[in-house]
Amino acid sequence: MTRVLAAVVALAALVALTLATLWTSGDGTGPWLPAGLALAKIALVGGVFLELDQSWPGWAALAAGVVAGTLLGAAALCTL
Amino acid sequence: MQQINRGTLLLLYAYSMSAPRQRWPPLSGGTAVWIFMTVEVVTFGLFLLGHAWQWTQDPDAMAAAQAQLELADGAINTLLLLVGSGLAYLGVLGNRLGRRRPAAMALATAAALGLAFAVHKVGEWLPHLDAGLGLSSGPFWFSYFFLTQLHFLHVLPGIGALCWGAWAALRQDAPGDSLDTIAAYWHLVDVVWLLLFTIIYVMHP
Repeated sequence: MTRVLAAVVALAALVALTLATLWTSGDGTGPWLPAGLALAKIALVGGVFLELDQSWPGWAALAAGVVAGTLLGAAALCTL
Repeated sequence: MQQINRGTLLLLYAYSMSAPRQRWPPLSGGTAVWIFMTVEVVTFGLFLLGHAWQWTQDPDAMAAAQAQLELADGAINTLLLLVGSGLAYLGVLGNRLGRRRPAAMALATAAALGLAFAVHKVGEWLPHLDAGLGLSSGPFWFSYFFLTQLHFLHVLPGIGALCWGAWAALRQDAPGDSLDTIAAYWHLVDVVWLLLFTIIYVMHP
């Protein structure tokens, strides 16, 4: 898959995930679903737009650690 | 037997010394912008964890304040930044392929979407400010105003950089990987907004 096609597919997925965030946000949702949807969106931005899929995997792991630590940490704090 | 093993080892050693090492391509946009991005995301992340901690302190006040935010406003801003981020990347790809007009158009449209984000954001703040809310109106509003305004300060230079990038792509005189750096910065703005939108607008117990 060319980078241009990957970018277009990622963009469509990002729009769909944002709409999913809007539709699923409600009183009974809890913090974990929004955190998961945000993680998926940031993974697409990082993997495709920032081309982390092509660089040394350690950078992707570091970025994933920082972002997941923030989102999942916030979700865990919300449920305390 | 011992000689064969020694010979095999020697061959393996010779091969390992002669085989080219796998080289990973450098990070898109250069190392400096990535160091900056990491510091930025960690800083915003720590503030956002502090914001989430407030849900354990006074959940009723946090819920009442969050209910005053229009989720649709946050979603519109998210879409503006995400589409802009995708276009910035397509602009970079177009520039790499030497297609200067599509590249310039993509970068200019990303800048326009960034401007639309800024205008929409100000329009979102005004009713809250008119209602007398501000940084001192409680933990939720402190996080909301402080973090969204700090993010806003990152958006403005990004719009300027994208405009310059569009002009440089059109003239095909962008130095080095400067367009990659601009796009990487814009993706950072995007990532930080995704964290803000999720944790401030959407997330609750």
